[in-house]
Amino acid sequence: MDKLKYFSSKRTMPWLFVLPGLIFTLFFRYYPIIRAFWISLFDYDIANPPGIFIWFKNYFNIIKLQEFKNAWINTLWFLVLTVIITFFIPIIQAIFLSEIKNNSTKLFSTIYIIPALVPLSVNVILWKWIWNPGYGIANFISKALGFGHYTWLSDVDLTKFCIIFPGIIGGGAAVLLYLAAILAIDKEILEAAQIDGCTGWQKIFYIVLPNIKFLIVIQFVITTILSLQILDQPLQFTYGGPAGASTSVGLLIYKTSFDAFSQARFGRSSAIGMVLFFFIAIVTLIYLTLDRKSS
Amino acid sequence: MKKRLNKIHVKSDMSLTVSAYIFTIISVIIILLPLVYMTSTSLKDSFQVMELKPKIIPESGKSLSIVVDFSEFRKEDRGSLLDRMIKDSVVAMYSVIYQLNREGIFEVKFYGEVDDKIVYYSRAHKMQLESELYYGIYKKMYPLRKVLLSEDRYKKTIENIGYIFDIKGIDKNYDTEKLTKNSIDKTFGEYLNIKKCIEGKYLGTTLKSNIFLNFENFKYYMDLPKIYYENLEENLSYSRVSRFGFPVFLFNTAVVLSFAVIIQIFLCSLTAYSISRLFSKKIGNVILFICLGSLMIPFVSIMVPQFIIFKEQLGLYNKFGGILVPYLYPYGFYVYLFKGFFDRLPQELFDAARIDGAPEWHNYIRMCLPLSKPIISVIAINVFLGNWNEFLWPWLITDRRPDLWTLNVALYQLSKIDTIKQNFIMGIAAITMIPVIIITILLSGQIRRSISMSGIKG
Repeated sequence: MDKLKYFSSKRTMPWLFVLPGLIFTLFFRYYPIIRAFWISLFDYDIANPPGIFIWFKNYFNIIKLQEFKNAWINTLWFLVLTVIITFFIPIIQAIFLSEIKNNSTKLFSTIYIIPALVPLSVNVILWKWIWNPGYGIANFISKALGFGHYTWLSDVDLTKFCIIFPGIIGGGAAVLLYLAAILAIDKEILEAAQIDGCTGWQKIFYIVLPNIKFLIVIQFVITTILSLQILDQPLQFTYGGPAGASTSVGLLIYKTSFDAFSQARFGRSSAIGMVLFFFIAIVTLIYLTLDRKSS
Repeated sequence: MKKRLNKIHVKSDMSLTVSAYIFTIISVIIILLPLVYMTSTSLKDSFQVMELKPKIIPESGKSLSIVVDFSEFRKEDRGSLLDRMIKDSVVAMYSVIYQLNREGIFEVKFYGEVDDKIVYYSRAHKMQLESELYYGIYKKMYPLRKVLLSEDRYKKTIENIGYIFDIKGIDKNYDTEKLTKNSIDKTFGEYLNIKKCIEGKYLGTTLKSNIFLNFENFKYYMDLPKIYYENLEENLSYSRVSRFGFPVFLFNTAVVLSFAVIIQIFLCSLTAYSISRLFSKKIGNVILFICLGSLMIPFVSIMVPQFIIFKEQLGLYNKFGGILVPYLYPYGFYVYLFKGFFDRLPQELFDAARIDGAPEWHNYIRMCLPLSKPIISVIAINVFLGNWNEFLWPWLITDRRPDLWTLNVALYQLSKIDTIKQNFIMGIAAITMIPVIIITILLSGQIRRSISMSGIKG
């Protein structure tokens, strides 16, 4: 009798609501990551899965691999370049946009959305042509300025720069986020500052920036985490670049698993994937603890 | 002292405003410049695209009219006369592409005359002919007469191009004044005669500029997938692509995004509703933690197991379901946004309904959702923007089925084919910008509001 009451509709109803979402979350995220770990413990054989159990040998092997070390160096370079070239532009764009106080703001912010709406592949097609050594305008401009002829995407030293550079035009959702945060700053603070004799430029550095610091930090963490996983752009631009110069960790995982040449070494690629996962998890946890400490 | 300070303020504030305007205007121009460049490149033909000194505004396309006299065959029966004219027009048109590649001729018209009466007319756009030549019916062949006419291929191509024929005369005219009065007339005539390309008697050509011809490029860019996949030797499944061309990819993307938006709104709100309103705080937080924790798992790390699951266990490799099913995962951040919104709804509304004996479904569907319109539009736009650039998974899962490709996948795959010239690729890329621009103009207000709302709440 009591058992029936325990499972009454009131008790079970919440679970009925949440079950689909919960099951799908577990099935599409938690189950695969556990399975990835499981696969990484094998010399995975796609003909006869799962293959030979080799404990942590995959991990020991990849640490010794030159391509693994290179991929991490490349990925960190991608991160550095992304932050230097593309992170600060949207902030500056938003600050200046907030200083324009008439109807043209709407037009400008509409145009600023365009980079977010340009499909990834379109951007790559466009920039691959710009960076084309023979016919692209990059060399045309470079020669006109007296810098000479470069092979850009095929140049071991320049390829990472060429892949990240398109982000310099800024725009996108980030600008609108920053703009919203700037416009949400308490009017009273701004008025008080003006009464105290604060000029426009001073206002930006002493009032606006500190007040949107929280958003800048969030965006920085998101940018970092996304840069560590970068895969689509290096794949489409150069498929890993001249001699692996633009192979990120993500791209290395892809190549190890699916590239016809590498014979589907799922065990090894899963190991690399687990290492990346732990790295990102640690970065996230560091951020969360720092965030908790500061608030 | 105050007056002086004020002057400094005004000056400094002015310098700020001026800098703001200058920087913003330059920024906006820099954003628009690549789009202009893309459009300008797609208005060119494959020769102009390779010029060493790039021109921003391409030259106006030229229209070439070729007039050929068939009077010597006037005694023949209609069928055979028509066949002769068709053969000559095909050879002449493709010869223009081959010989006069550098002249910027975008359109070729062919007039067949008998006894000073125009009886045959056919017209082809350069891109149409180039498509057939590079990867269509005449893939990898030289446009010489015997090649063009082999195996009745000329019949297929004239069917695609179209012609008008009436022995009594047709209502098409060329500018007789200007006949033979252009720079290429002589050389082209010599080429036709020396190579014995045509059987009729070459009378001459007229040349005219027409800027609209450049814009017509786009029509044939859209057809590119159609022609390419129709003529492919490999047995890839491409039926929809060969029938409809490029719009297939737009359609696929539209279906995927619509499904994603609807299912994400449904599942995320369902989960968030239970966390926010149905569970105790402790259990609710545990579930929320599970949902948010999943955000930490990078897709790259689970791509291999997910691929194996989809291919071996679910059998969704190379099927449309393979692209759609992953969207069943309720994205943690959206669950969090929904929960935040639901928390702010007044408790009394729900309690009142519960006391009245309404089932929980009623609370959710009839009351909660209609009140959530603001957050739903925020989430919808976020889902759209987030998945518009989705490339890796659809590419992995639809390797052998071009008719399942979404926009990004299709563009990438097409750009890898070497026989497709740069202006074609840029043209297709430019075409995809049209829905982008339309969406931007229509929804810009909505997008701006949604992004700011999600940012501040997050």
